[in-house]
Amino acid sequence: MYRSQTFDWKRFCRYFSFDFQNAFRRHWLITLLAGLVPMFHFTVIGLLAILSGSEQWNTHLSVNDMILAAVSVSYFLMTPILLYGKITDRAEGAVWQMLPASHCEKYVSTILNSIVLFPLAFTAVYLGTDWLITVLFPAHTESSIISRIGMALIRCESTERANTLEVLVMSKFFLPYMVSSAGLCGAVLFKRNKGSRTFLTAILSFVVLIVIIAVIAAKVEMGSAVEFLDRNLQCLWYCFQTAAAVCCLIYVYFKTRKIQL
Amino acid sequence: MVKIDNISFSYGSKTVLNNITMTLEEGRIYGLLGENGVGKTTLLTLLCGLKKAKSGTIDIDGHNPYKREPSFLENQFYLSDEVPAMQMKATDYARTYGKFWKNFDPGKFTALMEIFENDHQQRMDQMSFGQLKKTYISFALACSCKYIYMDEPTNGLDIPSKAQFRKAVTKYTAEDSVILISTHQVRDLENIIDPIIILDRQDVLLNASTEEISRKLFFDYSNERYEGALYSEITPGGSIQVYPNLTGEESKVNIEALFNTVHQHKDLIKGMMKK
Repeated sequence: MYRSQTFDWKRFCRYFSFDFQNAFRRHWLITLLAGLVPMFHFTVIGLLAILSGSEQWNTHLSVNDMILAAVSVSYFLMTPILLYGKITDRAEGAVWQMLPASHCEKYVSTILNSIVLFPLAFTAVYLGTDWLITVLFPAHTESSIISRIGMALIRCESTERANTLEVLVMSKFFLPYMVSSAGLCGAVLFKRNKGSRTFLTAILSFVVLIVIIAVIAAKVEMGSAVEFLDRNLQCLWYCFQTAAAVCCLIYVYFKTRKIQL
Repeated sequence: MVKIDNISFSYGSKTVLNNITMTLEEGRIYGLLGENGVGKTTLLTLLCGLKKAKSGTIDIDGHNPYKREPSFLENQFYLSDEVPAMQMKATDYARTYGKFWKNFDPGKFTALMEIFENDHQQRMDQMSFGQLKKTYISFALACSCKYIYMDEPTNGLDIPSKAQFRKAVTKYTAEDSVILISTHQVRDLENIIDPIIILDRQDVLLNASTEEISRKLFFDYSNERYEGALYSEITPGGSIQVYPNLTGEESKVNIEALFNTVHQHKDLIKGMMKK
């Protein structure tokens, strides 16, 4: 029976099942611990309050949002590196390359695990933990992330919804899939110190981008474009991030296809 | 069949393989010998598709290895000298990874692990290097692939395990398999590797069966000195001398002595084998 050398569903399902189980075995604890951060945060604040004898205390929304931003960026960036950084390793990378599945199937499985499934699982655990704490300890918490999103959706105000969804997209800056794509790019680009190098490269790229934009804004006569940019800055920023994510994923595709160990 | 035609490979500006041409036939266990750094591992990784030749072609049953097509990968197994310690039991590793090779036989894997006296219920990340190697060797042979490439498989094995390895390779490989074993430990594999390939810097010095070698070279284990010996060495049991076989007498090929002879008389041996 002829089977395509590029993509075969049966072979893909077999490979994806294997890859997901492998990834789960290596990464479930980190995902769980990262998702339980609201609980750890609440516990620390509570213990400090008890030790200081304070009865009126709570976890502030702004602090919660900052913690969410920090934890989620770290998780989304590091997950692809922890799951697939081995691709460039001589021993483990050879095992991965030599598995009888097509490159396309391995690539799709990699994307699904590192950019979709594990980030979704983390998000679900994080939001669930955050919601549970606000339900169990209403006196010491402000509204949960989920309830804020829900309220914005009910109000159906597009600006409100966008602003509330920004809570999930790491305090207005980074889209999850862009961060994960950058992480995956770093996982195959660098051979050593993948995490720190990816993080530093991302910071550097962001700084360079800001400088370029500032230079252009200072030198170019924007005219009526200023108003357009002002109204659509967030949308443009998200479009730019999506384009960056696509570029990262295209790079990962060709790099893993041509990798030599 | 493996057809290697004029392949070259270099690491940056350093050329490791240059115009290498050879054919590997089915039903043989090839021994790949050579000094450190001549390109043995590079050749193996080129054959299994982990690297791409800078020039020339490699054809394995019509496949270009570097394309890494699933139908090609299903028919081969590459056992590296460095093997990763998976975070699972050996039996789970076999069950999980064995699904990818259509001829994988879990019963064979268990039997091979028993031959090696290796516990298949033990976690691989808790095994010693030798135990890990035996696990991977068992898996490689249990896959029953047509092409098996092994890089220093007896490295790290204890003395009894080397004998077990010889037994396992001869017992559990299919008749039409091509097995290519790269090794420095020629004594470990002396009775199973045939033909013998000796690689030099950017050249194939020898690619011949032991029968062809013994027709061209005579290995003398007596204590009589032969003036025209190409190579001689005093061994614990006596001595060994290698000289051209002018009488057509048969002798047992000593691979270590052969290797040293070939290296000391490269052009002469190449010319002798070509005739």
